[in-house]
Amino acid sequence: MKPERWRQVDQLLDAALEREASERNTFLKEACAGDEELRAEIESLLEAHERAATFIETPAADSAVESLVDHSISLVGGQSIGHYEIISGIGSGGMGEVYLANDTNLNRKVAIKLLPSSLTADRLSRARFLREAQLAATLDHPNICTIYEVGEFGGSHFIVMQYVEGETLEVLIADKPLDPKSVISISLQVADALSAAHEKGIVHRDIKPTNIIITPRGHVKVLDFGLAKLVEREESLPEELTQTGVTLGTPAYMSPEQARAERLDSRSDIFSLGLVMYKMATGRMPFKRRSRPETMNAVINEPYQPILGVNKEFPLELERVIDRASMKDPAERFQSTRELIDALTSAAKAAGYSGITILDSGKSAAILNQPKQYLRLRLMLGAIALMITAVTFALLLNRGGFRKQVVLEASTAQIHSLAVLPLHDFSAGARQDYFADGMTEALITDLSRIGQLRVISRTSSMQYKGTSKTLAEIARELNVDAMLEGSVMREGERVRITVQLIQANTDRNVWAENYERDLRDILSLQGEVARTIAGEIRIKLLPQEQTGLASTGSINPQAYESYLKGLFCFNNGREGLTGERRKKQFEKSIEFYEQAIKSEPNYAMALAGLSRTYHWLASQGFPQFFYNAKASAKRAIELDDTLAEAHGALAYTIWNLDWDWPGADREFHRAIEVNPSYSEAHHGYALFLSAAGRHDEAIAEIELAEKLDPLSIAVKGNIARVYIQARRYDDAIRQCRNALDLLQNQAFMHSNLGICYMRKGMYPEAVAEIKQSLALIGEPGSIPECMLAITYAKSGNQDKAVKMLADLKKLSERDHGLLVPIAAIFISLGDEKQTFDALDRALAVRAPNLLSMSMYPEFDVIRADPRFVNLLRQIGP
Amino acid sequence: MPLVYDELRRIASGYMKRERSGHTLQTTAIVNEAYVRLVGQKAVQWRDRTHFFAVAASVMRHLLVDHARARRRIRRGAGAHRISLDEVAIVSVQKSEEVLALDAALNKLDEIDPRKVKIVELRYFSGLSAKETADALDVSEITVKREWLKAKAWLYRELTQGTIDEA
Repeated sequence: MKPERWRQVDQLLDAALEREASERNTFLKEACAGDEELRAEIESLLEAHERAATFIETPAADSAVESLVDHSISLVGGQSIGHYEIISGIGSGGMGEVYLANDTNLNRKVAIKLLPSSLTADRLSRARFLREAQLAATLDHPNICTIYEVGEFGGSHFIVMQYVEGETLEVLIADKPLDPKSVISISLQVADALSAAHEKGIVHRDIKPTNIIITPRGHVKVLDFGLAKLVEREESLPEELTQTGVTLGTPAYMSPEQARAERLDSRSDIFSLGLVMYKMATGRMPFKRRSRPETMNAVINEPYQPILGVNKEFPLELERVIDRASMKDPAERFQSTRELIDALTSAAKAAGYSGITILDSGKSAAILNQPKQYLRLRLMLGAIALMITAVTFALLLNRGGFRKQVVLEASTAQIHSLAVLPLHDFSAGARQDYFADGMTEALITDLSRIGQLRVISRTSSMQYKGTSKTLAEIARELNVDAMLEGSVMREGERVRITVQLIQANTDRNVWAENYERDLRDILSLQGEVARTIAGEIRIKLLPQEQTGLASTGSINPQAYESYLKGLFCFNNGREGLTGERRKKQFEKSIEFYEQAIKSEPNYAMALAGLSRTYHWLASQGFPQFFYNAKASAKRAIELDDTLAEAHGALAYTIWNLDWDWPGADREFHRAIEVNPSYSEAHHGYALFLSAAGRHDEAIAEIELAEKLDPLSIAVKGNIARVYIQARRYDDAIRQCRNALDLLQNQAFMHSNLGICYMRKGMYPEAVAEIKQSLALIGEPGSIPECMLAITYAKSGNQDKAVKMLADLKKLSERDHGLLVPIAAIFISLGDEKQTFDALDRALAVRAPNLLSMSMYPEFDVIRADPRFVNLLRQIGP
Repeated sequence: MPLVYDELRRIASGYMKRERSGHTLQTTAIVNEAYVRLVGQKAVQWRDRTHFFAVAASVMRHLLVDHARARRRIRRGAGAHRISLDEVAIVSVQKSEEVLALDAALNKLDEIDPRKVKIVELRYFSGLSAKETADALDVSEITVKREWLKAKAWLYRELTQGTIDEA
């Protein structure tokens, strides 16, 4: 069609569309004036128009852009679906991803399952999905996880379900047999859930241990009723999709008729439950084979290994029940769940497990001895079932025993170490890194107070800011049992914190909570979070820990804000920068802390922070600030004796400034006592002990510091140093090499390595390493440079050492840190007079590295010299 | 194209992570960001807003078509061995076919009525509303709506013709 002709069509089409449908024929007849081709063209377009109502009305853009997104992380904490706010991902399975969310209308936690969009891509499956979901939603039974709602989100359907806290049966079994009582109790509860579903004609189709949740109270909840049907999609699908669809389920618990893709009835569920019972009884999957077809073949054709062959202790009566439930031919199985329940109760009684407990909200409501009676009672209770919040079918067993044997085994007691991941900032407007980071650190500090818990230090935790690593990877790298992650949202003077605790090995959500508070109450909130976590992971807090975490009192939001900024600048300077820029950040940090103290003079945390920044600044070659560090630390401790930062800063300061070894020892001890996971204190104490010649203790402390702060470069460097001072050079070399494997181009590591080689008499290697270090440092007048001169002096290159000395001596006039190493060069050259000159001068200016004389075995030759003895006496310890 | 794709993918993922309350992706914002990043850097001067949106929409269209082609390749190549569900789940197969057929029809329509193609690109591929489309093209909203209906009719006829004949 020519464009001119099309314009004509287009205009007439407009005119026709403006008219009522009934008038269009007449209009066209007239307007086309005998041009039948034109009229046919327009009529066909009008017809297309009528039928194209929904055509391309849903933009492809949305689904396409979504398709670009990595679907394994398609929702994150803080996102909303309708009135559900996502807290976190709980897990993902064949049937989509599951999230923990908060129903903001009813303010309760729910689980949301987001189904893969392919499952409901076309209208047919969408309708079917809704039908199945509606049917499943009619199930109302204490052992069935209730479906609250279904909906659509970004092209995918989601199901909102009751959030059940607990372990999946899979985790509970953990490949080890459960005790028979637990097997009975769990099986009865699952059977009862199935019974309720079968009455409504719903076949579960995917009974397996991962679909069965055991709550901490021993209550069973069965998940995903009827959902399996959605993924089978027998009809109207290309063969490849059906294939993948079926792959979703694990075939290991399929019934033979399911494996053969025959029609299913409720007896298929009975078979699957039989296999689940087998797994509980033995810890093994009866038909697990290497590949899917082999597994399916086994399900259809092979007998399983008798239960008593795997678990000799299992009661014979119960074995018979399981065998009957798992017959290949449906006609030979129990024909209904009721039959199964009856058989199980009699078998349990025969095996000597009697006594029935019906629990009402945890309180024993009735104890019956006869199973039949119990069932009758249950029927009677049916009418008031809704009033009984938890009818636990903890049949035939003593509840306490059950808990001990089943629940505690899989409890969270194994959490001994924890990492707090950087909290996300969801505040509106500009990002406030200092706020979220500060809250992260505050949580770390509070949790560090718990003696039984190893908490990873800030420096290591913060490296995961914005990371794309999975929780499992992070847990591995930090070697922790659990992780705390969450978000903060600040609106004016309100702050909202969402945190959740995730167990690393199971990826299970142990606990999640939302807090919303006034910014004034932020301190008590932090303590509350830490206390709650301790409770969740069943750590009993010592009285002093409890007091430490009960810091109350409100805080002036402005002061708090300045405090967080001070902390932020301190960390910025300490972790990311060097030299002048680092100093600038420290100065800014001091400024913010001062502001905080100005608006809240008794703000102990700000004073402690201030002392910490001062002592760091002082150790950067500005020893005058040790005085400020000492003053602010003392003031902070007066106000609050439980602040580890203040004790740590004071310890380091009085050691460096006053050479007060016993005082420093006490303060380090106190810092570690109030905050056992405070790696900085362990780190500082290690250096202190090493300098004091207490090498074994030093090594223990630095290794602890590394466990707490596995990614810290400073700690890694000082491990080697502590070994060097202990004269364990081979260990030091190993440490350096490990560190260099992780982090190349660390000047500190190369120089440490060089020192080790020098001590071992491997001079060419020593020279090479130290030179590499010097190249990285790029500035004259460093300690590694002195080490190079010592190496030369020892290896017959005295002239080179002498030449270097000239420059170094000049530099030492300004940089007193060079005096002790220069003395070491002189003694290596055999020049005692110049050695003592340098040392005397170091003493006169109280050079800081007089405290690390043990770094230099060169002085061994003058150790008996009265002048040297006198010197050491003055320094201590 | 791969560059645009990667960039869009990166940005879209970023949006998904950052998005707080919005439950739909802000497609326009993503396209905007992608294009400003990619082309803006090379100092392309936008003549005006209209020009920008037109380019962005056609980027989106190309992107989707590319993606749909890739999907189809995966499906065809998958006859012998199974594909993972994840791959299938990314974009529904139907949508891919729809996109490809539509793309071909749009090429045809472009020969006789480029303005309608622009409107379809903006609305269908970029997800703009009628109002936004009108603003982007600097025409009235009524015009957009009218043109949209006619474009739909034409495209629908184009896409269904074959099947009607067969039937």
